Amino acid sequence: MKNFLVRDALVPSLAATTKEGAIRELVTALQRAGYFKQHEVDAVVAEILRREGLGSTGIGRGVAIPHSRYEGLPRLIGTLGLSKAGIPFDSIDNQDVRMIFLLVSRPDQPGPHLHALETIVRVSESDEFLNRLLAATTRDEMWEMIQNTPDPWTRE
Amino acid sequence: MIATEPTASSAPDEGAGTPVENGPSPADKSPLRATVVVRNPQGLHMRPAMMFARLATKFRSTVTVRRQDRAVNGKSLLNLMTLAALPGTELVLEVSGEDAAAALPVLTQALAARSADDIGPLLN
Repeated sequence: MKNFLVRDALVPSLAATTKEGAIRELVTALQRAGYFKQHEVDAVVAEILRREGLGSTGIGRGVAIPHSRYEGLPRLIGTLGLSKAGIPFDSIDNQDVRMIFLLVSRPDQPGPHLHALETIVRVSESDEFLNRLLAATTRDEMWEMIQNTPDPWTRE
Repeated sequence: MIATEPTASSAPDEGAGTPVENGPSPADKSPLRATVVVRNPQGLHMRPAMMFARLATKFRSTVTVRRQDRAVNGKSLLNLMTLAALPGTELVLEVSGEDAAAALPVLTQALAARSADDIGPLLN
């Protein structure tokens, strides 16, 4: 996860209470970390919301993986936002989401995107991981967990 | 790597060398198989995986998707996403149950679809 999550864009406590608000907050965090220009934020948010319109990326267990492709990125980037209160997301299991992994990938690099999805799905299988992640209150705590979690697919 | 919990099926594994055609007899417990190459240019990403799982769930048969030595439940979006199947990846689809003969061609078509949009019509 440390290969695609951007440390400076992690959000330990999302202010947003809606799906659209959370997506905008996370894209803005990536912009502030230097990955988008300010005028690109609306386009990225719109593209992610368009994808959500085709079917929610709330995969259950309080986890969602909103994502889109976007031209011009150096590589796949992502961030993670936590919401202690939970955010309605039309998830598979109808539960509110509390951990939002937002991914923006290069259109010509499906591999890293597929591996990122696999990684998030696999770490989400662990109750212990999710509980510890949710307990994080600072960016440093989040990053420490991310750094110490090996990408499951690299063990293959 | 240890494969994700593969499938609820307790049917005996007949081995990877079993021919694709196993005959349509409903009394035959051995799964029907097809080898499918992923043709979606973005690979089996979340949306095609979700639509495949939804389609698979419409059948009573057990649906298993194998990638080399890993086997996952074809009715589970999360299981399918752990395959991280890029375009060109060879998967083996295994369908076992009373409606397996009907399910195999439809699921094969879905797994080989170039776009998630091509799976939509199969759901109707």
